[in-house]
Amino acid sequence: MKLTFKNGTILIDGEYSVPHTQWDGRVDDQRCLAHRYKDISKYLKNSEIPYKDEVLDLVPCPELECDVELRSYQKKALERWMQEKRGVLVLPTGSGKTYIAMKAVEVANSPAFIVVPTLDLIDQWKKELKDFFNIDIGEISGREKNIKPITVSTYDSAYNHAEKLGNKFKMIVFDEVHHLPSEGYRHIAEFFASPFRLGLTATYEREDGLHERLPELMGGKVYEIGIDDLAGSHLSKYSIERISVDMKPKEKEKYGECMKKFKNYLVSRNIKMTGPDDFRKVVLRSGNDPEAWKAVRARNKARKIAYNSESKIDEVSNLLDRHKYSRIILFTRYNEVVYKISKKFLIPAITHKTPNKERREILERFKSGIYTAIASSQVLDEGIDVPDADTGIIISGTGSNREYTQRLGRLLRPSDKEAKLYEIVSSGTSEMQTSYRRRG
Amino acid sequence: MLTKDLLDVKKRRPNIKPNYRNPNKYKDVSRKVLNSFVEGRSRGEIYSKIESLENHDNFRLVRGLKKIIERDSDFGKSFTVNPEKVRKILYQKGFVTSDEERMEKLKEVSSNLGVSVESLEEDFWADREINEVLKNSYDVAPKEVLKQYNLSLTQTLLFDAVKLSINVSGNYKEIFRAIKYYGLMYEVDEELNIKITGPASIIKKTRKYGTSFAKLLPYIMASEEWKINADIETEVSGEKRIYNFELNSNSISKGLFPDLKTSSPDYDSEVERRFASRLSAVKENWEILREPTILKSGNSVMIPDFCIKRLDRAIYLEIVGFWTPEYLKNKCEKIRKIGDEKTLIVAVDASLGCGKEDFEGVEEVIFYDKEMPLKPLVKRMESIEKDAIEERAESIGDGILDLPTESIFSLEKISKEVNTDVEVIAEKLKKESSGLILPESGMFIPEKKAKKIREEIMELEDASLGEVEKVLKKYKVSEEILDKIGFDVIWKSFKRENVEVVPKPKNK
Repeated sequence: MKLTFKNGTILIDGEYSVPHTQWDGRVDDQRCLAHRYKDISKYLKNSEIPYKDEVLDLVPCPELECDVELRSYQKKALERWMQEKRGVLVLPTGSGKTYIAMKAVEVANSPAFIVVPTLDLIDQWKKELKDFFNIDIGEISGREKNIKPITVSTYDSAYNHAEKLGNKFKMIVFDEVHHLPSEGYRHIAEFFASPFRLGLTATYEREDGLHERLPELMGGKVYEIGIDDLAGSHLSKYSIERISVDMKPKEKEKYGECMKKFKNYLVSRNIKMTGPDDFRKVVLRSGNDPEAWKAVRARNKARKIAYNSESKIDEVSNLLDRHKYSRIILFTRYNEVVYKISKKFLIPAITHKTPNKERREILERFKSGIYTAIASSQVLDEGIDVPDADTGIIISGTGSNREYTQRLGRLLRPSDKEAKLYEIVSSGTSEMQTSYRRRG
Repeated sequence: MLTKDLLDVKKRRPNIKPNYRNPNKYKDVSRKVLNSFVEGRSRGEIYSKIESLENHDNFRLVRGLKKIIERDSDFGKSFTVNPEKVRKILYQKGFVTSDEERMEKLKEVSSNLGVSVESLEEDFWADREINEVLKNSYDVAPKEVLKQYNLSLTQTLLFDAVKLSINVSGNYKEIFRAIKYYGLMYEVDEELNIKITGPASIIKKTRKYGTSFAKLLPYIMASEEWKINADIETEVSGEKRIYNFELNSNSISKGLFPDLKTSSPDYDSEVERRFASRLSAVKENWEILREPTILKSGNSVMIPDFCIKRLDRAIYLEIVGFWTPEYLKNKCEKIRKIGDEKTLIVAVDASLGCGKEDFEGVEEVIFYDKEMPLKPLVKRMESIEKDAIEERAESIGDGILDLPTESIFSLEKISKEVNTDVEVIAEKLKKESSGLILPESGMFIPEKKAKKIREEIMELEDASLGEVEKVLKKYKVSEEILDKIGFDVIWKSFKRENVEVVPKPKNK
């Protein structure tokens, strides 16, 4: 029997039939997805079938040592994982998942491939890994391709190159592993033969139920700790103030016009808007129905007016005035608004387009007190190095956004006064929404 | 290739097809989009011009065209002071909350840097993509952009393909090289349909290989004639379905796509080029084709270097001008798997130092030294030719040749009537009649007629060529017959009246 790795799959050449495989008439051998590697070797060993194993072709790797002290719950999580060297750890944001992962890599003491959602996170992981392991860290991403014993990649690049990389690392780590079970990204786990697998997340469950795939891909959930279970929680207290502002009369007029167009379309086609799915349906119709196309355009324009409203900028100005001596993080989902605020108030801006060097510098200067405010369209909480702030300002679009207030709230640390979080919402807009819902 | 949101398709169960735009019909839109790209304009300005061209029927088209033109554009940043520097200096001065305060700071910084406030304002975000400025101009025909668009649309549809089948003639080497390069696999059936899948396709239905299929498409379209058939995974009222997509080379002649056809493949070496020209000089009625087809070899295919063809018989020739043990092993295995029904000759460069023993199980191997030897090949060709002619002659129904054996006729005329080769007819007559065949003029003379002609010539008093010719003319046969019916032509001088036709001496 001989096992070889072929583009994300394993070919089994030999007379015994092996579980998890399928006959492949194209090459007259048995074949399975690479993630079955561990199961198959186990089966062959248990059945005492001799075989030649040519699956792994590992990146040459030095002894891996990392200088991290784990807290007690982190140690416990690591121990659970070590039983099978497979599985997912569920820990809240800010609980030091990276450190557990680094310790796990040290325990495995073999080449490791780490998959993370964004380029920012690549940078952060690389920095930490380099600091603690004291070796050069590789990267597979749109901007760089460089394989090292420890290599960090984005989900997208890992998906694109899984066929070629799948047998080069004994260990694979997925940060924010809840992304993994989606139809596309799943291939990464399947095409990697790596017997050691670690998944990290704060939110194991997915709305679409696909997390049920994780046990097969990763090993199941092996450890979970909630935010309330963390002893001596350093989570801060803060108070939220919701400020609703009226659009400027001209904006209101224009907004009203656009929304009316949209609503009239809904009425004319007898469409009831009850959720985001219904809007998607209208978008789908816009290919064939010129009226639908116009309606969608009008609605998008209305939204743009609402989130771009001058009144919100005025309100930001008021808040900045009130908090001249605070440390402020401004957050909005809309890049355009970030750029506008940055230029108008001369506040450093961070969007996903900001070059790394500039971003790093901005964060450092905020930390050291040279800058006292940051405007960002990125949720900074998935990072490790988020500087402390005592004032948060969220500029929401059409209605309040609980997810963002919670996430930004977690970043706030009280100074001498209580930490404060503001959310600015356009008042007219939600009224409009409820009104057409009722009519529909 | 476009992003999936720009995919514009028509679905009619069970078929799916990109919404192709006829270049003639849509060239105006294309021109307008092209004309929005004016050198010196910023991306933002260009975008808003283009946005104003959109309507419900064309918005995907317009955005697609934009993308295709933008792909080949050169945008650059334009500023007086580096924007990052401008921002850093201003940020450092702390945030402002009023216009007056802001202006004060801008003025201060602008005088420090020696630039105007306006220029400072412009530079602030000059490095944002949207503010980049177009640096080139275009000299592209609007129709060509549309053809590129149609191609990209097809590739975008293939992103969602779970299976791709193709049938091609030509560009084989490139196609199979690309299949391998993109990590794909193939199967070939007897009709040479090539089913392309990825390694994991047998285990799960997956769109993972769609991008590779899309990249393969231009190679397929570069072949002489082609046909593709793909299973596309698509969502129909919220559920995933498999729809079918078909396209063939006619779409190119209809002007939908850019012409990607490559010229016929170049010779790999000088040896090959000389071989082809020498052979065609010796055997001019054989067709010599380079990389003519694929041969099915078990689960795989082989692309022989040459095919020499005549009368539906083919000899395939594979030239080995390079080797490693592994390469030869694979090659021999491939050749063995092709089977006996195909004639395949392997020609090996003798200077490589491998011998007959390295070609285990391969029947026909010839070695060449600098020049391909024609002799063994020509011999083989002639025997195949003979075989083919005999076989064909036999297969022609007897009834067909009943009538004409009583009279003189042209072989060519008959061969056309029964739709076969002159040589096949000659072969048939040789076997089944006792008449004469004149190969040069391609005539058949029944035995009785031949006798009669001979008698008439014998009876002539003046046996000069001039007189003899009169007889031949009557029967519409050429001088060629004289030799066959036992006359010698003796040239005493160059004057025709001095040329004598005399019976051949007997028993000589």
